[in-house]
Amino acid sequence: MEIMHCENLSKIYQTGEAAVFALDDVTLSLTAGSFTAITGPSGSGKSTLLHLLSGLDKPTKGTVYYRENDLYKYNDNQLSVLRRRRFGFVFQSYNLVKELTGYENILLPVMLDSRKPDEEYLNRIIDLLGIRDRMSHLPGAMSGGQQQRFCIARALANKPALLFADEPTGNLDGKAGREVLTLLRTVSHELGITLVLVTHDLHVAEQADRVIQLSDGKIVADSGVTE
Amino acid sequence: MKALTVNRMAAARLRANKKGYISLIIGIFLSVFLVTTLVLCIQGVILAQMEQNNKRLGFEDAFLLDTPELSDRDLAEMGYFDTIGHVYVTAGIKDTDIYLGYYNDTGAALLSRQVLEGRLPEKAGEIAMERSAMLAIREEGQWQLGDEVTLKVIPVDGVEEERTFTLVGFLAEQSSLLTNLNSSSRAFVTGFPAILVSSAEPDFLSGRVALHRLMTLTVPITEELFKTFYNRIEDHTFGRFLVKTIEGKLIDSYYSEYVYGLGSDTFVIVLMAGLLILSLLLSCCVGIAGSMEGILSKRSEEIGILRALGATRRQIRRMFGRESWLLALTAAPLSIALSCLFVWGLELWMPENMVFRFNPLLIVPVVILSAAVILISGSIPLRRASRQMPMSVIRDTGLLRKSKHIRSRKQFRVPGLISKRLIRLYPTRLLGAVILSALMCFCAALFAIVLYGGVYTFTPSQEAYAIMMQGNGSARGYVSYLPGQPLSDQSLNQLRGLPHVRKVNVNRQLRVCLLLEGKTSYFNAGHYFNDALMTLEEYTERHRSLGDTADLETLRQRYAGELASYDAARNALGISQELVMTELQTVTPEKLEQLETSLGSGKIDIDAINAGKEVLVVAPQIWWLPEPGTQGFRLIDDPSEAEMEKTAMTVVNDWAFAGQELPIVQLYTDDAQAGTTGDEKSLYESCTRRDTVVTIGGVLDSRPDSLGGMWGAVLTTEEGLRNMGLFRNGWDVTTIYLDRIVDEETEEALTQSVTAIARRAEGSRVYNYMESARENARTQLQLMLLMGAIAIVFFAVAAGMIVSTVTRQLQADGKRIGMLRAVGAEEKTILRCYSGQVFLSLGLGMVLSILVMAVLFTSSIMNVPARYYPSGIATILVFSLACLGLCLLLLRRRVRQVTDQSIIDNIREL
Repeated sequence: MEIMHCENLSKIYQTGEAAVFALDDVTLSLTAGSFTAITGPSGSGKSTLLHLLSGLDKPTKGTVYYRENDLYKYNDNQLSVLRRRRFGFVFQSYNLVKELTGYENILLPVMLDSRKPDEEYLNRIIDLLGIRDRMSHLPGAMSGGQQQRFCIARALANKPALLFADEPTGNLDGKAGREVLTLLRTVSHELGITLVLVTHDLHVAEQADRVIQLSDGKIVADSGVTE
Repeated sequence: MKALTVNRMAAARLRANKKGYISLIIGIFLSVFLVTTLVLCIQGVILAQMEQNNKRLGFEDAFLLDTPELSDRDLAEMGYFDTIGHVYVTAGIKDTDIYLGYYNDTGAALLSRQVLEGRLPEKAGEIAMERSAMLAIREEGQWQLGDEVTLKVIPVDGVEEERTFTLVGFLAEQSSLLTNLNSSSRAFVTGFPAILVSSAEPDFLSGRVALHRLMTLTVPITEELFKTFYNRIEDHTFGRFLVKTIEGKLIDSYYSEYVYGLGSDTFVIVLMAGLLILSLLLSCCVGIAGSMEGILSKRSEEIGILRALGATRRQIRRMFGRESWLLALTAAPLSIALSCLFVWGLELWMPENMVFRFNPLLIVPVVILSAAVILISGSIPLRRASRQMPMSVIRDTGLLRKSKHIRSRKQFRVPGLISKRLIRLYPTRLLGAVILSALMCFCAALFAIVLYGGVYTFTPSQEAYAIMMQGNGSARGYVSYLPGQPLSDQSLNQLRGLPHVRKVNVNRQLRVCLLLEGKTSYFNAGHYFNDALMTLEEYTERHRSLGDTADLETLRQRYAGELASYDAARNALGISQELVMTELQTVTPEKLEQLETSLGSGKIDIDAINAGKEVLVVAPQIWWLPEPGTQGFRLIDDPSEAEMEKTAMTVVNDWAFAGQELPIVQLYTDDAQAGTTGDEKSLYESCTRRDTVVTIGGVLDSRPDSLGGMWGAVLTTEEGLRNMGLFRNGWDVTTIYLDRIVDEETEEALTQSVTAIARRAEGSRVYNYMESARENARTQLQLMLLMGAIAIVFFAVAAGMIVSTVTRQLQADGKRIGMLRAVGAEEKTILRCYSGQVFLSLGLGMVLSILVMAVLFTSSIMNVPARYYPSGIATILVFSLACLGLCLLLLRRRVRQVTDQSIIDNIREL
């Protein structure tokens, strides 16, 4: 079942006279519960595509549909509600709020939605990610791997339908990277979450159900499309 | 290739990031502008006041009255005077306070008398006069230009004669303003000519010419300089030295009281302007420091990297500090030019109150003050930024030190938690905003108190005029020097007959002596305590309590001298009783009746008092003197107070009893030189003496505040005094009440008539309380406007400061806002995260200002009545709420600017 699709998605950055096509006329669809890896060389538009799919940025052209609803027809508030209820985002540079403790960072989307936290579920995630002993620490006191785990926990806290991860292992060493990836896969599989992951690591991509390869802002290969 | 200097790097950074420096450049521009404007305004107000006063009083800085012992050369040798002008006073007009005289060229140039009509006298036999002088001399009608005028004159120290002149001009009023003396006269002649004659006018048959000298000073007068002159002149018998203050007051003593006292308008203006400057500079400091902090925190990683690359703290400070100096150099000329334009505009708008004069020397304080502001305000954030370790800046690990105080929450409201955490982790960020909010609230409260304190208004129940006479100011021994006559009954009746005059009261104080059987130290409680009435022990004790450190033998010798002098006086007067100097006061019968509550014994029989048969005396049954060193020389007549104090002396009324006969003797002379040569015997033999015997009708047990005076004072009515047959000259106050509030035109005519009548009595001074009320109202209004202006300035600065503090955080926190938005925070949530800081800044400011207000207003410095507090607090609330509304409005706009960007732009901090 299709959960999201985009049509003719383009993002152009205007730098002086020259126009840079970060993403050029991309059309694709995502199946619910699948694990999709987006790969490609640096500057190929991987992260831009992820930002546009997750509603973090606006395209220059084209549109994104989440369950048949045009994402960019939502106003800012509706989009905010969608982000905190349906989407989760794992940043490459973690992006935890440095003044809040690890646990408070995890709770952010739940609290923004003014809901009571599902403690049983949260405990499960926390145990799965192995971060219980760092819950009351500020992000500054954590290692990169720990911060990335908290970032994943925050992205999962609201039981999202879609989890976007932008090179989640990029800043981690091989072992930690593998652990994080396994976690992402396990958790999303267990919870039935659609996982979209940007990586330039082919080993990571190999584990995905579908691999989309980008180059110069265009899809050059897509393992999920049968010719 | 050009060398990479600190200046070039700073200039390049400024060019590359113009937007980031806007708030800093505004802060620097404002501080230079405010400093320049205020310096120019203070100078302008003072110059305008001096110009106004010079127009009225002349361009001289100091006066030396009738001091023949000192020559112009003596004065020139002192080195302080560059111009010395002469005013020659030849005679006084009989039965008035009006003098006749002429000037030399320098004197005329300094006084620059304005001719209202006609011209100045040019040859012998011509006169020009002030209109008030004409009204004082000629009650029945006015003279016209060209009239032949015959005047009865008394040449200085001469004999009365008559002379006829031709009236050629009317002069603007000046002589009465120059006779504005505040204490008793030591000079032969203190007046300035209200009637000018030509220098060719032949001398009068008798007398001499008194010379007043007008001087301009080479250096500004200081208290020390004043004392030098004052002491120098005091060596001479009659000399009198006066200086003109910038307010146009002539002062001959109590220099510091007049110049630095809070009664001084100029001092108040300078004080208020100083406070305003300081407050504004403080605001600028806080503003610049905040802007610098914002810039530096945004560039903390750059600083960290530079430090990691080996830049020293000093280099970091220089690199980033140089930017503010370059900005100051760019902004200063424009700010100074705009400020000059602004003050010039003020001069065009109100030329009487403001004079714009660009003095290049003023640039020095402006530059120093501006530089100090930039240096001080920039140095704090620069030091803080340069002191951090490279990695602590790059990874912001400084935060971890504070994290031990943080407790993780299980559930929370996101805006509340974020704003509390920001405040907890970065408390100093809000410091500037809190200080400015507190200052705004405090000024608003002061404004309210001045506003609600009530502008002084005049009502018919208040005294409209007072004519004061200071005839008996110079006593020698027991003899009063009483020149001239008090206001005659005819003059008093004329005052009563003036339009709108409801009532004319006369309160008189005469110096008289009581003749008592036996010595009593009771009277030594007053100002005129007589050492000869004490025993040696009492004499020693009293002088010790007054801080006299002379040894016992010296005191004994002095006491013996006092006794000898006292006995000589009694012998010369042929008096066998004890001679006790005191005051005799006249009050209205109504006021006497009101003293019933203070009556200790006897009765108040107004008829007997009016008949001159009875008097009241002020003599508490018992009084105490506190122990030396407790509170100085002070008398206690309240038993409860006496119980609380350590008292050194207790004195019981042993002389005044109801029904007792009281012989009174009055001794006076109209000879200015009597007794000055030291021959006391001749003084007592030549003085005029009047004797009367009255009965003490009642004894007052306390000194009524409304009467002042001393213990042992004798009270009667005007009618009683007349019937007692005593000479009525002395210190007196004639108060005039009106039946309505008159318009300015009527007031002017009335003032002219009152002044003219008053001038018939020598040494009189007229006080116009309506004018004082207007002046008070004007001062109050100025104060109110000033406080209002300060409050509004602080309102604007505080609002700007709070918004810019929070905005800087918004800009610096772009990443955090992006993160929050990425996890689903709406715009209103972001706004609430930061509005908490606005609430906190204003709230803390309010609390701080209320605390300061409570301390200051209840202290003895301000002592503001409690009934004004609610208005102060209400105004604080109004100002704070208005500020809050404005801040939230501005903050909302700024948040929208941030959220209008995409989340990715926020996170990347593009």
